[in-house]
This record gives sequence, C-alpha cells and structure tokens, in this order.
Amino acid sequence: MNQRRVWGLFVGLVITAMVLVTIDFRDDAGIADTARDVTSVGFEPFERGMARLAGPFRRFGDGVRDLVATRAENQALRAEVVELRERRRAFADLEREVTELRDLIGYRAATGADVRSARVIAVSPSNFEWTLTIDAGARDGVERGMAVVAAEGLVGRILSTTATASRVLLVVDPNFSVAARTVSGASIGVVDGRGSEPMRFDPLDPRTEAREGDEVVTATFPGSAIPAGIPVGRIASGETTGSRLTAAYSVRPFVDVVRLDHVLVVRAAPAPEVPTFEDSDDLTVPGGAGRLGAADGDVVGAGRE
Amino acid sequence: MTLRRSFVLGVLLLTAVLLQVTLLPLVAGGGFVPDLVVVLLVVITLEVGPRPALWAAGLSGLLLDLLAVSIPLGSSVLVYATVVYGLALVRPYFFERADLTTAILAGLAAAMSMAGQGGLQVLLTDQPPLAGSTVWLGSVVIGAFGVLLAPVVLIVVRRVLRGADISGVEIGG
Repeated sequence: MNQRRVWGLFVGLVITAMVLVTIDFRDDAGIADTARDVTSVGFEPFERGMARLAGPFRRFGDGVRDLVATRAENQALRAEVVELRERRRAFADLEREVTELRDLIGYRAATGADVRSARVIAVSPSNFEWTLTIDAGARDGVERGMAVVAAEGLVGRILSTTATASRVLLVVDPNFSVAARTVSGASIGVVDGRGSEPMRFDPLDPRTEAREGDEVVTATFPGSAIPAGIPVGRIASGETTGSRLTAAYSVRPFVDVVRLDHVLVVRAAPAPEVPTFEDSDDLTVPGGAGRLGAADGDVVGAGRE
Repeated sequence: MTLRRSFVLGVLLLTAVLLQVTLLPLVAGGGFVPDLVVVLLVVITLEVGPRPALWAAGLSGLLLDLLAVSIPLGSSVLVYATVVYGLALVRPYFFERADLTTAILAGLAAAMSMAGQGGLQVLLTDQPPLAGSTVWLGSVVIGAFGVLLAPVVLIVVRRVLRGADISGVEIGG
C-alpha cells in the first residue's frame, strides 16, 4: 500500500515536472517568470540574512583565496622582477656595447686610419700586469707595437701576437711608455703607466709648464708605430722640484681600461702631407710617406672635448 | 506525515536551499558547487522515509528551479524525484541507519543528480552540450562533496528529528 503511494507520488511528481517544463517552454503569458520573480522577492530577505550570516565565512574564504592568489602572484612578480633585472642588465650592457661600437666607427671615420676592430676576450689574470687579449692577430694584419685605441683615446700597444689573437699592453701598465705632448702648451715628454696609480707625464723640458686639465696626446717618435695625436689622458696634478730641474705630472687616462669590450688596432694612420722643401725635390723626408703620424696640433679623434 | 514533522522537514529543506544558494558556492571545488539538497533528500529518505523525501524532492526542486534563471522549471523536480525514488527502491537492500552506507549513497545520489541535471540541460535547452569529461568530473567532485556532507547532514537531521520527537522510519517504501 505504502509502496503504491510512493509510486503514485513519484509519478505525480514526474508529471508535475513535465507540466512545469512545458509551461516554462510555452509560457507566453510569463507565468514562470512571474513565479521566479515572486520567489526571488520572497527569498530575498532570507538570502540577505543568510548572506549576512555567511559574511564572515565568505570573507574568510575570500581572504584565504586572496592569500593563496597573492602568494602565487607575489612569486610570479618576483620571478618577473628577477627576469626584468637580468634583462635590464643585459640591455645596459648591450647599450654600452653599441655606444662603444658607434664611437669606434666614429673614430675610424674621423681619422681615416686603417684600423681593425677587435673584441676583448681576456684580461690579465695578475694584479701586477695590465694587459688585454684581443681576438685579432697576425692573420688580421696586427703586428707588435701597433697602437690599440678606443673612442676615448689610447688603450695600449700590441705586445705580442698569435695568428688569431694579440696581447695588448695597457697604457696604465708600468712597462708602458709613449712619447706625448700637451695640447695647450705643446710640452713634449713621455707618459709612463704606473699600474693602479695615475700615469705620469715627464716633460723633456722642465721649464715648460703644464696646467691641470691639459689634455695629453701621443707625439711622433722615430721607430714608434703609435700615431701622434691620440688622446692619452688629462693632467690631474703636477709638481716641479725647487730648482725646476725636473717636473712630473700625474695624468688620468681617458680610457677606462677595465670596461672595454671592443677596441681598434691602428694598422696604419694616414701619412701627413709634408710640403716639398724648396730646391730639395730629391730630399727624402724622414718619417714621411708610409710613416704613422699626424701633424702637430692635430688631435686624432676630433670631436672630443 | 504529521504537521509537526512536515514543519520540521520544511524548515530543514528551506535552510538547505538557502545554504545551497548562499554559502555553498563559496566552497565550490573546481567550479562545481556541492549539492546539499540532494544529500538532505538522501538522509530524509533513509531516516524518515521515501514519501516525505519525495515531497521534499518536489518542493526543494521547485524552489531551486524558481531561484535559478536558466534552468528549465521542473527539471530539478524531475531529477530529485527520480533520485529519491531510485533510492527508495534500493533502500530495503541496505542496512538501515548505517552511516557509511548513507554517506556512500549520498555521494552516488549527488553524482547522479549532477549527471541527470547535465543531461536535462542538454535535452531541454539550446545551450551547447557540456563535454562528457566535464560532466564526468563534475559528477565525481559533487559525489565526493556528497560523501563529505552526508555525516554532517545526518547528525543534524537526527538531532532535529529527535529534538522534535518525530524520529522513526516509515514502514514500507
């Protein structure tokens, strides 16, 4: 009996459901929608009350969800920050490299010298030797004694070569010395490297005075493959002995030798135009055609300060 | 069914429906909301009897359909009534008042309810059919929720019924 009642109730519910579905689908008068609206309105206070009761749970759930999401977001952002920092570092490095290469191209265009660009592939492992190794060697026409320059000025000279690489003695190395002169006072002398200390400029004539801030450039010297006029550094300070028998000036190099990526090896500088001496057509000018050098007063790398 | 029992069951049902539409969406797992109503229907079927459960199925199904917007009116009634009737048919073959059985049956019923409602959605609406894997996954998740909710619902229903002094299973069904 009871089973029959249950069956009857079930059938009744199924039929009711079917009727409801039919009404919902063929509802032109909007009865179902009205019923939904009425139910929503009727339930609204209960829903609101329940929502208020559920508020703390909801907030707790939201808090937990936010915490998890924030943690994940935090981790993702940290990873992104690391990646961006690495990119920025790489970008700054590239930017510096591009600037350096542009300057080198500018140097080449300004001087018209026969140069070979090279990348710095190693630096001296010792703290008492200031050398670089570059990826250009004898196969590229690089020879011992040639000048190595950067856009800012003199880097050093070729110390030794292999077929594909060369060792460069830097201007700051104590074994380095080059004939030099000041641009303003035309005081001629020798610049010596002094390792981590500023370079020293010893004028040949102690009576000629060099002022602080004077630019020192290379000078011609018989037998030297370093062209004249390459900026070396700036006079930082100077001293003379009381009798003015000797004078020495410290020079800060223009080139930051520890931050070089690319350099130029000057294979041959344009020969200076030497006017023909009167009545001396057959005179051979020492250091003339084929010599490295530039006229006094000219500064290779025009455009500097 | 006495008036007092009807009232108590009505309050339980109303509470379940309200929790279903307010609190339970907060604990949705994988986008699937636990079906507390079907769990309550299972417990009522096993603890009170199939007839009150069928009435409860009709009423709660209708309420949920009315509170929803896109579900065809009557579809939840059909699904819940079928689930309760199916349960009523197999009920004599289980040990009654076995809590583990109740939990398992609640899980199964919840999964079947999910599958049934998914099927009806496809049949009765012009919505794109859900992927089989989605329905399958939903059934598993909601079934699991059903298993977890059943002990709590069982305890609450028993206490309420005992408190109202209307405990006891209807004969038959």
